Amino acid sequence: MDMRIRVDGRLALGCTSKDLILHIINRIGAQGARGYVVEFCGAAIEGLSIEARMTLCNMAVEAGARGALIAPDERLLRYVFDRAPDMHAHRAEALHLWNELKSDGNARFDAELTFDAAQVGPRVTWGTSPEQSIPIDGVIPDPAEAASPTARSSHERALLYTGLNPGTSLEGLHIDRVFIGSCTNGRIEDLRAVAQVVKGRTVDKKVRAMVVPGSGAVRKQAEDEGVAAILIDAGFEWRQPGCSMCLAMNDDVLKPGERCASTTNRNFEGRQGRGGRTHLMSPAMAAAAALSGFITDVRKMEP
Amino acid sequence: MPERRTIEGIAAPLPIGNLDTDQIMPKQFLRGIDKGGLANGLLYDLRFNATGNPRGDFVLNRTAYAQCQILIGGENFGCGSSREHAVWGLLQYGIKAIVAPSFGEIFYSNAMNNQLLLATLPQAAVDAILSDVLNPLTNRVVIDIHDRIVRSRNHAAHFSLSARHQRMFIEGLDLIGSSLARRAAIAEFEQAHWARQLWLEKVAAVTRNRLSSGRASG
Repeated sequence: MDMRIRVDGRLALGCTSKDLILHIINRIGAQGARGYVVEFCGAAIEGLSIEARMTLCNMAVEAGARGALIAPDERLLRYVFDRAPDMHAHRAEALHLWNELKSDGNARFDAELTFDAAQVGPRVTWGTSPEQSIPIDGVIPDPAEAASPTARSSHERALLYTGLNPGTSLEGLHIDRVFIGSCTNGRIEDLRAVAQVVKGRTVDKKVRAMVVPGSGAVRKQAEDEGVAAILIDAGFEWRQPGCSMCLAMNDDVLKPGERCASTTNRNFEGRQGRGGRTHLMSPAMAAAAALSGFITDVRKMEP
Repeated sequence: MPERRTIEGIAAPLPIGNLDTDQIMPKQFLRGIDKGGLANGLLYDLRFNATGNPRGDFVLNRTAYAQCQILIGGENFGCGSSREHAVWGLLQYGIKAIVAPSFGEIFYSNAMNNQLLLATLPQAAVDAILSDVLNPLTNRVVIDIHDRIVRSRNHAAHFSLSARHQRMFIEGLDLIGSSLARRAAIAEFEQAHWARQLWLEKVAAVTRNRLSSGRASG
């Protein structure tokens, strides 16, 4: 089955595609796109960089989607040709083929949804499902308002696990760890976004913060660009690429009760270590949390 | 080919919404190089406390449900990480079927490929069956795969299962097996594809050459 999600408008400053997908998953639920392949379109999507689009499509799975895609445009073609030198000799044939890779104007979808990018603010998860997120200036919803008894018990169970109360804000919540990385947000643009926030500042002394680039190529590029030096100077651990604390299969594990600001895609119980509490957010928001020692609105950080 | 038409046994109530595969099979059990030993890891943090002792109040640790072969789950059962170990672990533990209002998409495909039957029923029907199996005296369930019916002591409901998955289940085929049955059509497509886009094959060859010469000199 096919679902089209159109996002109108433009994301505001300080808001990223991570915030957008957390917003969408929150509205449609962790199984809102179950069984569908999702096509994203609309002005807000066209305005996104290719790497930001990858974050969006990557996390559509957390809404239950089988997959997600965005039709190729000029920006995408440039991105591909920049990275595929062997294609240059066949540019015309490639363009001919790829320009067909879009839905017909009169295509019919099994489900169509529309969102307004202007309604999206920086978001943070409070629970143990990627659908359980709020804007940084919002409050944790009350389980009493849940739609069904099952939803209510999941909600209560999540709050018990994360040690939080309904009606409270996440702003000011102390964290122990910060994890920047994963297939969701471990790309060069993500690391640049973190560097932009932390340049010339230092990670809060009570926080252990690490950056795990998404690949060896990203790691090298960050070192060549000077991004790595900024992160290291700020007090981040600069690690080898891999999955690391996204699923904590290696030694990078949260201790029980530890709270982590994480740029990953999943906040399930025990995902980052038994009893560990994960708060999903954008790289810029995780950077702000690292500097402050608590979850905070990156838009309020002094430039 | 043995035809498996019914699954019958004790059913355990596990009505937890969005029960993700990280909970079904935690990461510390994913390190093996074969599929063995996963029964130990199944639902580990629910079955055992922080010191590794069984949680007496968890349903699978209660005597009446210890031999269960069927789980009655909540919505979006098996969402999250694609780890196939979740399905392997359930099977190794002895679970043969799960009844729930909905399942995680990838989990569903993994289960079908491994002969773990997933029966999708409307929430009201799941609730009715739950009301039976919550009582240890009426916790047996029969699932008829051929007629697609789940029966508990006082309730019965038709479940949805695509014709393809039903056939895979009854004939004991996974997706690879059912794809290989169409080998001729695949070869035909491949040939036509390269004929239409000759340049694609050339690009692949150029890239292969560039990478292998880079590796030789670097």
